[in-house]
Amino acid sequence: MIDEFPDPSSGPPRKAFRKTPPATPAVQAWLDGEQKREQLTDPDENETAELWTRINNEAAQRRNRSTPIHLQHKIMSSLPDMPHRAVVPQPASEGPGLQISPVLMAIGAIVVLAVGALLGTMLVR
Amino acid sequence: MADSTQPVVERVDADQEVIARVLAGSKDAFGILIARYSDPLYRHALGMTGSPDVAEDILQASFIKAYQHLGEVRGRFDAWVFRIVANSCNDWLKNIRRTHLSYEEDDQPSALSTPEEEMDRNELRTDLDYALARLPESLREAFVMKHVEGRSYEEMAELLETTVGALKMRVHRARETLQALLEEKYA
Repeated sequence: MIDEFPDPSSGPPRKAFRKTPPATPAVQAWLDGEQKREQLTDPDENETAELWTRINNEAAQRRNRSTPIHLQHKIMSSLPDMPHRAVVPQPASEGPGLQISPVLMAIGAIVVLAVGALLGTMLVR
Repeated sequence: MADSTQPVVERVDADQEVIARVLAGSKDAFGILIARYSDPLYRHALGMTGSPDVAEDILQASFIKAYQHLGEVRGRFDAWVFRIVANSCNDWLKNIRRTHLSYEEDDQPSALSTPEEEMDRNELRTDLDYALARLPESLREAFVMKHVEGRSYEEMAELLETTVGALKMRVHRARETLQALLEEKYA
């Protein structure tokens, strides 16, 4: 119910939402689009529906708001040079594989030769 | 979000194409994403904060953050950037503890004709701002998305990563609280 606001000093009479019946499940269902307004037969429910029609009209006005024209340019001009890329791990098949330095290769060769020489000596004996 | 008639899969593909261009070095291509999604994001920020200036700041910071982390997008860009904006709004609300929201700076002319109707509408707008400012964050978010942004429960559930049932409860509670707050104001 929309009552006359009681304060006469505030200029034109104001309308208040005092005593508006709470939204029943039927009103909630109507607001959710699950049932039609005509299905609200209770006078209290109709009163509440009246209030919500006004609120929805106001909400619809706000729905038409769009971004201020200057904002897109403002955002674009404040972007840093390059976006960060996600760190994606390299697949194993595309990687460089096991890398052995020349020093390690030389040491390995010496070890193999030494073992070979040792085995050869043992066989001769 | 930008064009609800376009199938989601097509939109995701179109966004991925733009993202690939941006990551390949085309900074200007990011403007396409801003143009596609700024309106619903701005309305959300405005609905949550009640201040056009704050909504602009949040949108700017969110898009910069999105640009900087663009390579991390997996799936829907619109849902990803929405969460950045929504989190920024919630952070702002937690920090500011505002008691009054005003839309006066961004007042728009209405289609109503008579002075009486205009006065009624101004009164309702003020009262609604008053009540919205006092709704708990999660209820305000649900109410703004449902009533101001006009989203379906399914879309809300996707964006907020929750269930339709939970959101219905939040919207219902928001409506009840909003009505109670309006009554309280005049008590």
